[in-house]
Amino acid sequence: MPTLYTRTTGSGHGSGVFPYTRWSLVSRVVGSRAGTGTRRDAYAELVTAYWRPVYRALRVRHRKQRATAEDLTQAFFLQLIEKGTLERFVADPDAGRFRSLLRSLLERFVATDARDARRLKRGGDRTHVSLDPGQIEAIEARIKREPVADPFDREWRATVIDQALRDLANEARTPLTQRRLEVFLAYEVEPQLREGERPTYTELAEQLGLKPHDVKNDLVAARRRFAELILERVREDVRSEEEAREELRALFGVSAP
Amino acid sequence: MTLSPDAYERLARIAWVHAPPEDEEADEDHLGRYRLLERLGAGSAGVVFRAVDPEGHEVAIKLLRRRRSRGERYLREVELLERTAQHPGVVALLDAGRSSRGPYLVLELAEGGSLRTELSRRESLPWQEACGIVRGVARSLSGLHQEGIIHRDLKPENILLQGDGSPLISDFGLAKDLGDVDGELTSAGIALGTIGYMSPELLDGDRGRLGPWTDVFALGALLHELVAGRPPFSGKNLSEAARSVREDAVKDLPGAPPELNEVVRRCLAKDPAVRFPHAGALEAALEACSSPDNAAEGAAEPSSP
Repeated sequence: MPTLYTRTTGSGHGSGVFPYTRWSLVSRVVGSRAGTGTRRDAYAELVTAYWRPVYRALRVRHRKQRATAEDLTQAFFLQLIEKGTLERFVADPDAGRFRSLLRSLLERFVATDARDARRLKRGGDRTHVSLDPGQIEAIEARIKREPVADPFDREWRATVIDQALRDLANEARTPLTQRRLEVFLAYEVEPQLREGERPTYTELAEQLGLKPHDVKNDLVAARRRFAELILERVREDVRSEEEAREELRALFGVSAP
Repeated sequence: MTLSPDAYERLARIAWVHAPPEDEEADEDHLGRYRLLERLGAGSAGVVFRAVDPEGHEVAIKLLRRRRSRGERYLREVELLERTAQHPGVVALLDAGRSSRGPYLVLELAEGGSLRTELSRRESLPWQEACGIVRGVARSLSGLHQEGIIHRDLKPENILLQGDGSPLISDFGLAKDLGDVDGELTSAGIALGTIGYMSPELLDGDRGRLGPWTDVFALGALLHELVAGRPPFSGKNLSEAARSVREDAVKDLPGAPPELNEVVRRCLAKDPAVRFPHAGALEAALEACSSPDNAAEGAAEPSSP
């Protein structure tokens, strides 16, 4: 089983598992006093949750070097706090979807504020959040292999997928759900990791000591559960069910970028 | 360790086509965000509706039977439709999802209906017209064959006509990516296909012998039925029809030039090696049949009633 998706037991920003919805996370950043531990923790979670699309867009769309893109990613989130952008967003029920907001704010940041990045970075040393070097390497690999028109949305989607995979692994606590997870990963994920051919149900059944019928049923159940977890993750970034469906369509639908 | 772009694509597709139903309760007038206007037809795979999207565009919606959403086939059909939609002459997949009534595909609406509808209205077509339609299908299919995809279920029901009469290939429910190994889909295809359009190797379930020539056989049967008004092979029951496919010789088409009869015979050869190797080769042969000399000759002879 890939170590990336084995069960995690911790919580908080380090594990990539978010104990709160993103809305409450944003609200915690906004609602806590500057300089407090609560604010720092909430800020760190916010950066951990959303830095990947920002970094990839800076690297691809804005052609920034790796080190510059890392600095600018940090600076982008710092100025979100400094300028009170999140406060205004939380207060405005018509502000639209968080993804769209972050994307447009990033464009504006690069056009107008990026020159202040060094100052922001110096001033924000106390709230500096380390970007996962393994994830940076993974994004760099994707950048090389997958030229896409919209790197921000593509990486956002990848982030949601990774989160849902972790959710699937985390909730596999019974023998049945563990078996379903194992079948799902063996059929849907591992062949792609190895860039090998996907096994047939029969081959997979032999490999895992199951009946082909069980493999088929487990896959159906795991795919549905995975899709539900994706929707749950998408719901965390929006304010209504209607927005959630629009967001799902925009990121995962047939015409998604 | 990280996922590849292909893995993310696959997982994104799963997330979309298996997403929980948008509508929590069945509503006979709606499927997800689409308003149903009329029922266009039904088959073993499901029911097709004319519908309208929230922006007011008319679309076709194929509501699949629930069992089709269970296994790999539904996901595969969506993935194949996404790949094939890049080709002109193939019906475009606009959306897909699950509703409380079952999984559905949202497809480009073909104004002219299917070739089956056209045949039931006209009984048969002049050979020049039939030749033009099959050439169009072969041209579209050629790109798919080059990508290693075979349709496996070509028949009049699965060829749609656009407003200008040009054909659109639809229904990739049984299509097969030749690079893929999945015995289940192959055996399902044999059970579900239409016998008169199935080549001997498809009837035999001989996966190793399937190829673009399997579709070429179906196109020969299609051309025959369009001109003669009846399929080249038939029987009172499935086993008789299968025997006919394996044993019967092909009769000449009424009013068609010898070159065209030769093309049809070659398409319908029992031995795959005798057939045109792929749709591109068939298209070239049909183009030769449609040369001005042949077209004039054919035009002088009335087609069958």
